[in-house]
Amino acid sequence: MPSLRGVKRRSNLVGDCFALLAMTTVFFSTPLFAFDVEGTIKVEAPYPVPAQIEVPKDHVAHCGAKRISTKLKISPEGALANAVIEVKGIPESAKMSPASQNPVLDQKDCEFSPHILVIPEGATVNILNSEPVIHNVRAFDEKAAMLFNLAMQPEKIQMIKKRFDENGKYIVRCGIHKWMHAFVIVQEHPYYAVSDSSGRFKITGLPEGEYTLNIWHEELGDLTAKVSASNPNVSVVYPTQKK
Amino acid sequence: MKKIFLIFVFMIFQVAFANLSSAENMIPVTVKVDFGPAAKPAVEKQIMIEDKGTPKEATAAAFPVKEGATCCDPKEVSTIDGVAADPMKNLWWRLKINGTSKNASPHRSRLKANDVVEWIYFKEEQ
Repeated sequence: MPSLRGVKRRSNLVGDCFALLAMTTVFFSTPLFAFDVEGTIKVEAPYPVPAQIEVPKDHVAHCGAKRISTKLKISPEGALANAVIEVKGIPESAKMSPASQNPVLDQKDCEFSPHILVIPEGATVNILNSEPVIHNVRAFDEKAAMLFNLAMQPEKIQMIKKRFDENGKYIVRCGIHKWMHAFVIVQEHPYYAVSDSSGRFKITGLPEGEYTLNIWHEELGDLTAKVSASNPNVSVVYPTQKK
Repeated sequence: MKKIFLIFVFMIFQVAFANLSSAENMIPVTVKVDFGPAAKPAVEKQIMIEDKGTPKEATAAAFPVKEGATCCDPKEVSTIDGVAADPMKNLWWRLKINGTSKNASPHRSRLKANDVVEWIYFKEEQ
């Protein structure tokens, strides 16, 4: 019959083995050398001015008479918000894991929020209507194919769930409030960012290597920049738009 | 031999009458297309279509057309003469029948003689 001390020692040994196994798993599943990319997205002066929208009289009571287009958000210093920064050339193994909670696309104050929603392939988006007015949510892919078209009556439908299976860019529009739109961007991997109101972005935990960043903005188009562990900070400037 | 000849004559008559009756069912309509921001010259064509045909059928008789949902239904018109609605760029096709877009549907509206089907390609500025 084994002594109590012997059992305890064996149990400690088993515990140690599990701990070692867990550490090994974590060690090999995370890149050996990972680095973060940080940067800013700016626009060269003179800055383009967002359009002012005359709201049709049917919608003035709830949405106001005039609105500023959400297509361009540029700070007085030229910082550009809502640019999507995506790392190209990521190894196949670094696929994005499914979201633990459904991402949310809300409709409030006569706008979609957020304006840019980045989700993993196969994620289901909860589309909300937080307003006392009807919205008509329509989504299209880059080939102009319509994914869905649903009326959201405030008292009847406050949430719909829609799954996005293929990566790519989708535009979501309201068929009633024509200025309302948002982008759902379906990504294969987690190495992306959306620039904030200061034009800043950060992408963490990139496996060591040299990469190309693709920067996309709905009005200003695409730009690229190179990054690596030795050159992780980037400042990208969109040139002045020619009229 | 006589029997075969009679059958042959009967068939000729049947084809001739079928054509005559379908010709009687044909109506003239005008199809106008304003390509707007697509920078192509506007085109107007007079065509004959079957009575109670749809604007989509009339347009397809005058131009290459592609079907696709742009508002509400996959049976709508998404492309006319190579110019496609583009939701990403907010470019759309608007249909008017006899000058009005009220209740005008590319696949549900029914046309009568001398109707004018008008397509306008436009950028939704909002």
